[in-house]
Amino acid sequence: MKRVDGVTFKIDQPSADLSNRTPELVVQWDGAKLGITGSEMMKHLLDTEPRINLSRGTGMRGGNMASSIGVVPYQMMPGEEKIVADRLYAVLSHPPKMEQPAVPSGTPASVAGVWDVHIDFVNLGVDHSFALEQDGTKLMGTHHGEFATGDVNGSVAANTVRFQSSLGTEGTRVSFQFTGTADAGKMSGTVALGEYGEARWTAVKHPYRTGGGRRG
Amino acid sequence: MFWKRAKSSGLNRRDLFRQGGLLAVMQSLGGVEHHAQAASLELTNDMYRSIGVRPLINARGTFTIITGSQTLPEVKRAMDLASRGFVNMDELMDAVGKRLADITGAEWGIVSAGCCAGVSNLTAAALAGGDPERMQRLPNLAGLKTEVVVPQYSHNVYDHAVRMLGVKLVVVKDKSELETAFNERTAMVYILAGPGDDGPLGTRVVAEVACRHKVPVVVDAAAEILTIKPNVHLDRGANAVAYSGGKCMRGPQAAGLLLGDKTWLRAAWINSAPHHAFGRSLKVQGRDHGHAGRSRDVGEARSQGRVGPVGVVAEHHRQQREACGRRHVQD
Repeated sequence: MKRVDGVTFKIDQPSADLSNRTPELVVQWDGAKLGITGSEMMKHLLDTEPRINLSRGTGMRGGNMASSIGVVPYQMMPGEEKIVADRLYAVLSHPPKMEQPAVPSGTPASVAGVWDVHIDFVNLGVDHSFALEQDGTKLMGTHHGEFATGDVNGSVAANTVRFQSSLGTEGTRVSFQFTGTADAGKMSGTVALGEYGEARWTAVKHPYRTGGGRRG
Repeated sequence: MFWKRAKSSGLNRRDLFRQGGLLAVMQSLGGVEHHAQAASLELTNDMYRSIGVRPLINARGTFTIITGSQTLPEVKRAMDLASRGFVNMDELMDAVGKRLADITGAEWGIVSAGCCAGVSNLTAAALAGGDPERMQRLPNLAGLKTEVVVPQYSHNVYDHAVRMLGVKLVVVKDKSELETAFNERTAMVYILAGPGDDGPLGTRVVAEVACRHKVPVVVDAAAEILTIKPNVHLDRGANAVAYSGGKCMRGPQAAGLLLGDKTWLRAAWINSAPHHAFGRSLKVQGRDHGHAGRSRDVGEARSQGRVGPVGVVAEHHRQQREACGRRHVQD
């Protein structure tokens, strides 16, 4: 068996739960040392041939670089274990060059306040709103959907914003990962909806009415 | 309409096949506008690639998004054989029900169009029984029961299978809420199999209360190994349990099993396709029955554990349930 320095293995055995009763091979390493994180590895093996769908990938560039991937043998066919092992060895011993996400520099845009948001889902545009607070580059607040409300957490770097929220709806939570740019009272970008795909979003600072208003 | 046009243009069916099938004849009739030449589907091991889809090695598990599981070789054979003939679906399901009962030790079984479909069919049965007048009105619940009780741990993304019937979920957090959750509008209890189903609001506890109110309990055990003789959920007092056929069992991806009380499962089947009712959209096909209860499934279920150790408590609950009466179809 060939080894890559700094890579360790463990096998998680199934719990007493009768569902998805399968062991899992967990491969762990320090992403900073090997030059690839578990999440990058997972995406790389899905993008390249022979295409492999791993059970998980952890480790975030710019975050916690402690990395791992999982191999669940439950539905693997005879012979595939060798293909998977060879690919893991090849990628971990000679990781592909990973793009370092560019962190924009400059004063963080000021996005605190109430925003009227429009999201263009597939074949449906819907109005939401954000109430955002900002502490330097740190972003927090509330995302009001049509029916539910959830906390916002994220960051601002120069004029780029990145934040997430999840709205509790029925027995589950609907997750939103917003990325975009902020410019002069407007924001826009894309929002990743997990299995439901991606949507475009735009936001304008909520125009508060001053004085008067309708009477009677 | 199409055949009429084909016939009037002087083509017969044999001509169609000789000319390369439907597409060719539709073009010859001017029924298809030409846009681009599509790559032809290759019926080889590269079939997916021939239409531009990259297959993958599944090192993840039985997930629907990556087509679940691979059917076992004998399932492929059974499905192929089943696709070469015609049978009456009611007669087929009757024979399959007997066979599933023999193999699993459950009173009865039916094949559904997946685990979720089984849960939906059972919800329809809890609302309409086998009454065609009620069946035709679903999901209009005016004049019918309208609520389904759900322990909080079971309120999940899959309970859409229940909610699609238009019922309101009554989510309960503890035993005292459970006791007060039942009323004359309660049609069913839905439980998600997993760590919670053996706890303080587990199937045993819930089934005891539901039984007193003559309300059926269905357990959603989609990704579980199939436990038999006895089935753990039926043994805890559930009236029915739904399994995915395309996960651990390695049957067809769009098939599932419902096991449990015969009266409930017969009502669920009447509410299912091929019958013209709410469940018509949840169609199970004849070939999906091919895999129902093959001996290898059962062998696997046994070898993968937890088939036996149910014991005295379970027997007690079963007796209690029987004493309480199994036939709860709404009157």
